[in-house]
Amino acid sequence: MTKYIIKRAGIAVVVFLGITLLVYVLISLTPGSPAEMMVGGDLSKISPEKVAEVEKQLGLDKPVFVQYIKWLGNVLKGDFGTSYKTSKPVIDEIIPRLKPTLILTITSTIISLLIAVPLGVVSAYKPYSAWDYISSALAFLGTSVPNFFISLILIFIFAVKIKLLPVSGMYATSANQNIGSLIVHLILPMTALSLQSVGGILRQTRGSMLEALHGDYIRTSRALGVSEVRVVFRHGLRNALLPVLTVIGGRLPFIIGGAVITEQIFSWPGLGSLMVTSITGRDYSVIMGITVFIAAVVLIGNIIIDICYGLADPRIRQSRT
Amino acid sequence: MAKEKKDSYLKDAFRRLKRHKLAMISLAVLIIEVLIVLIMPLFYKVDPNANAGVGFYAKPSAQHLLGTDQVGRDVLARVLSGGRISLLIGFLSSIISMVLGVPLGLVAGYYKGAFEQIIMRLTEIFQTIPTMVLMLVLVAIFSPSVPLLIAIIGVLGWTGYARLVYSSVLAVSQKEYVESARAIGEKDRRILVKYILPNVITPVLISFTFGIAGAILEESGLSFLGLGVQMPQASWGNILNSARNITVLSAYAWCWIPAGVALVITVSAINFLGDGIRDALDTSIKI
Repeated sequence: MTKYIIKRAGIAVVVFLGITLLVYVLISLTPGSPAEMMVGGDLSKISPEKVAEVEKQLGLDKPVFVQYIKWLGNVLKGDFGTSYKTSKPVIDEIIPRLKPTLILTITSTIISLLIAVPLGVVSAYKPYSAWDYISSALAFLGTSVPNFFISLILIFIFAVKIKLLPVSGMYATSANQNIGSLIVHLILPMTALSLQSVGGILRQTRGSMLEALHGDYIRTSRALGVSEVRVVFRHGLRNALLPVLTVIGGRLPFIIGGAVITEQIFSWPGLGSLMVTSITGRDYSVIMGITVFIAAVVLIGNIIIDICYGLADPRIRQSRT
Repeated sequence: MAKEKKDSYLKDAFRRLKRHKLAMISLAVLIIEVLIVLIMPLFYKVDPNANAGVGFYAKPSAQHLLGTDQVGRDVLARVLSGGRISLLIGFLSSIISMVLGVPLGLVAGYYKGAFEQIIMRLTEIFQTIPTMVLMLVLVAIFSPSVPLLIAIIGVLGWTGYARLVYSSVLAVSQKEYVESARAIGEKDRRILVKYILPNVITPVLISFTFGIAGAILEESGLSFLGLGVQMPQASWGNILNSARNITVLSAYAWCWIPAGVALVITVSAINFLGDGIRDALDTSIKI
């Protein structure tokens, strides 16, 4: 088990380096150097010497790969550079945004599981029943309706027509950050974001549950007179949940990608909103910093899922690889 | 002999597809939609990018069937024009993804070794970082334009095809006819094209269908954020962007609902059609 986790973590490190290198190189291709941006103002009035000086200061005269290594070294020390726009350290821009994004993405993942897994189990237990059709319809809604359109409809219904829920921000006032206010503000963005994952998880649960319920061990348990509830949940669902875990792992990037849009619509003060502001403002050091954090969130999420997988599947737990 | 068998397989698949009611309805919807966005502008001669001269937020009327938007442009003309762009981006970028991903998957699965390691690790990297985030970074670097969007969405879509083809190739490579082809000394390229490629076409075709829907959703998401198709050119996503204004959202439903409905109908029809094709070809792949 330990070896298995170490191996997965090793792959995660490689993938992490790959992602950051990729984005770093892409950003270095940007027309117009960050030095010009930092000097600011009217470009025609700035002497090329001044730009060259700032470039040297920033180490931008070195080859991209050397710059990347230097940047990576700084990141490992917790130094993500300075925002070109606000002149504040990038890390100070990012840290306060991390919690809102985690709250939004984690709660929506949990909600989508709570909706999708039971529906998937019922659909697989009674295929082609009314429940099966209802859940297929719901799955389709999630995969075919973009989350921003769902968000707009939700705002239209719950905030405009029946003035029930707030549509923007995380708390009613910044002075009064209580949990009740948070929950009320969380409902709409969380619903919009979770619906997009319901489809995939539901289909996978239904598929693997159907397969599990046809397993020999299910027939054996039934023949031995094990109660139906125990057969379905203890023997069926437990086996069916493994592929579901894989699906969630694969969906993490989409959940975070969806959060970018959802946060923007609901003015949720997370990494996604910061990302869009930085993209519009071409604040590359912040963009780079956010990429690091998003990649880290996805990779850590994947490792947690791998560990759950290992815990749930004795074949992995006991293997020595 | 071989040709006859192939014909009957395709015929069989078509027959099964025709029985799939939802898929046939979806196909009809899509064909009608493509015809509408292509042909209707010939009859409905309203400039989608110019003020229609009836004021801002004009209610739907006989002259302007879906009314006008926040700057007085005809909404129907914009939904049609946006539809052309969204469908074009969806279709072309999916082709790019397929053209990139299929050969890479073939090579990784057939030659294994270093190719396999590099290509498969690359797919992991690309699948870990949210496509949305990478697209935003690319849009920030190069200013957004329609060709750029097609290129970005297309290039970033290669991983799905590569993984799909890779796993199909692994399965097919073990088959006896591939081994015997290798034994009689057929060249690798010939084996790949003649014996392996035909076996992976079915799952690729299914993926391609779903890929178009995915690409349309990605484009509309970017355009919705204002970072995709740029004004004045309409796209379903950037039309919906206007509904982020709470007044438009609550009082001028005709400005945004039509584009949203068009988007949902298109994406669901493509997905239903994809489902139908999958059932008709009845492969063992799971998506």
